[in-house]
Amino acid sequence: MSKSLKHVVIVGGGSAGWITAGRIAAMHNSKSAQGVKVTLIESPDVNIIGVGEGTWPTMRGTLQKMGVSETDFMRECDVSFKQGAKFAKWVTGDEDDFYYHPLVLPQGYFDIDLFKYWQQNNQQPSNSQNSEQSSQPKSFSAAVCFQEQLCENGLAPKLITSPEYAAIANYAYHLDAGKFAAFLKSHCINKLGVEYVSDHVGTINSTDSGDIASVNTNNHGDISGDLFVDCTGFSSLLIGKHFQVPLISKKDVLFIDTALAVQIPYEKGDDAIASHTISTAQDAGWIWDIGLPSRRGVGHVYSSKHTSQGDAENALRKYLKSSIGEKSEDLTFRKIDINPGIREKFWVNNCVAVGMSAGFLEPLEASALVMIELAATTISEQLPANRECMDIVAKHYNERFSYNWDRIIDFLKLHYIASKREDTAFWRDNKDPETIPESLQELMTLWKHRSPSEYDFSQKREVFSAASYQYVLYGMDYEFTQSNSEKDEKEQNLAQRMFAENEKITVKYSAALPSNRELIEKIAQFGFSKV
Amino acid sequence: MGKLEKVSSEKHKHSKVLVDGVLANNANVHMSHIVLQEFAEVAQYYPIFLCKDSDTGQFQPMALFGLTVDENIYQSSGLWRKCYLPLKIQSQPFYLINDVDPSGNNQQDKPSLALDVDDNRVQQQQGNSLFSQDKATAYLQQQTKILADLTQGFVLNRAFITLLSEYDLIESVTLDIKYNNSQECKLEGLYSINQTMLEKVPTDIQKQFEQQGYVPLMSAMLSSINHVSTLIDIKNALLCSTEIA
Repeated sequence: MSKSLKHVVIVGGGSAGWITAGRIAAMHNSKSAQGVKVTLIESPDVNIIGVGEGTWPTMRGTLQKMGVSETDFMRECDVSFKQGAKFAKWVTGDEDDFYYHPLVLPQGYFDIDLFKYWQQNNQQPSNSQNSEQSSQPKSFSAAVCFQEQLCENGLAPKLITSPEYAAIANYAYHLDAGKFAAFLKSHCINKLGVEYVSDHVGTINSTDSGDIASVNTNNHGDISGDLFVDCTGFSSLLIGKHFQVPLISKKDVLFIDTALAVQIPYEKGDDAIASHTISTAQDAGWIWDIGLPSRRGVGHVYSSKHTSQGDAENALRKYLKSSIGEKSEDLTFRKIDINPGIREKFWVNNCVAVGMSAGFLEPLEASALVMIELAATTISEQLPANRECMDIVAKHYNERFSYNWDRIIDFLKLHYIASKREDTAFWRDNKDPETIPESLQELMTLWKHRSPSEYDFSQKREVFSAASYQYVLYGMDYEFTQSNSEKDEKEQNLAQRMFAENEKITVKYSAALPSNRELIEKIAQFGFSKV
Repeated sequence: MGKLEKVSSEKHKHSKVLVDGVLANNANVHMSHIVLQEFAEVAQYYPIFLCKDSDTGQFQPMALFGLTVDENIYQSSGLWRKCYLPLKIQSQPFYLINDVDPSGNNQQDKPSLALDVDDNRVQQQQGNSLFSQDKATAYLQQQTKILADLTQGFVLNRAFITLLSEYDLIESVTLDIKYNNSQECKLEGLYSINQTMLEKVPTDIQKQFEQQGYVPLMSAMLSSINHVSTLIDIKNALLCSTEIA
């Protein structure tokens, strides 16, 4: 019988290493002698690249499953709430151009497709009975979801009386990636029984079959294991350097390859903390703006083929000037190279890559941390019982993650091709069919005639739901041919009820929820209860 | 709470408090804060639950008087005059306020006694005087003592609740009530002790609970929940009599 899997060795810390360690250790009881042993080796001289300060709502489940208290997490990692993203100047580039991708599903999502009724309402503006309403038609997201209004008003997604991880409005987090890794490290070591080795990994020792037998460290000798997880980031020590699995560049689809990042303190102690990520389109990329409790994190990601570093810096200064004035002139920016690409395979022999060693794309829609969570969950839940099972698990894993990465690429690309901007080469080049994956081209054709639906996405755990595609497509006013099918009166009534219901709860929640800053300050003082 | 004035023998020389008004004045109060020292008495008459303070999210032990907001079944049924009154109710219309030291010298925050002069029980004609010849009356001393007990009680409450939370012993309780006249109501936001978890608490922690005198408090909380069915019975009777009338 094949030897059973007893020891997982994770090479590299950071969010990827510690989330993977935490998920496996919690699920496979590493605290006990009978459990699966988890060792994490972190080099003392490698700095963590804090990628992604935005998470998905899935992070709540990830933390909960590791036994993390939400109050501790929020206090120690400089965390604020994120209720989705606001995309400014992505559609036309005009000053007042924006749309939301909220995290709450459209009203009645599982019962009715509200899009055509929303479109119909907008086409036949105000009949006499709602003439008192503003003549401005409601955006799709505002008509079907209350969250846009919460974000616009700077409101939190829950109350101080809400239990940990419970939401009134679905939410994710903005966090300090460096503090987050340190927080998880201490939790994994002290609470979950993860063995920690601070050392540099040098040579990798193979077995006759080509598996990794052990990794050699400077001061701790050879560390052997049954499964090795490569969390070494861009250096990709195991999957890239050792196994020579190539990185497939995605630069021909997603042009962005450079980031300029900066941290901006608040002007006043009571400045509002935005409860959504603000993404503002530029001539050759876009600017992210993320509000943490103690500071903002702002950065410009751009295509170096379409602009110079100098122009990109100027664009970022100009953006910052509107909030911090002349101070924007004195800032220095940290430059980070982004090499958009996905590993050809993620799991080879007894080695699986998680995090940037597996792949990295531009930070639009915060896919970095969610892919780490998805990988850690899958590895933990599918942890092969022994070496015999491992190749089968690996095969499924590779198929699944190739699919997942492809869906992310499609979804990110969607933001560029649904845009109506033609003002610069960057926006025009993005619409070149040569740069659009076939899978996305097919969907775009379908979506000219019907809404994105769950039929378009086959996996049990899809990365983005059809609702996300709807928010982006209809937020960007994608051309749509109204079908001439007979309108069902019953469905018509249901649709109007849903719009009315959404209006009602928008008013209700807007009145009841505190400001984002107010709630974050209360969490610092009182914390949430578990129940 | 209306207008609070710091109690002084000059300002409140002639003020009197009508003690009998307490029940009528709380006719629309459906719950009251309580403190650990009075759990045993309270549990004899009222259901005890934990509720979250809307401003801080912190758990507070409360005695329930009604099954919906603004409802006081004890008062409407006439039962109240036979029941123990929680200290928080007894202390009315007196409160403690934190004095801000105008000199700015950082003396310790010492709370001062304050009177709600807007309370309709406060007037100058009848009732208990606060002062007699510039000296605090027995009544005022009694009220001061109650407020001191409450202050101490809130500290004790906090320690008790912290321990309950630490060992995950608090669980949410929802009351689904159906009255005889088919009227239904759902009471949420109530919490009590999770008995299953309580049984799993390690022995050394159980010992700690015993030493701190928490065991009878938890028993009092759990047994007091039986009063909910009494309240439902009374309300059924009240509903019935109003329907007949």
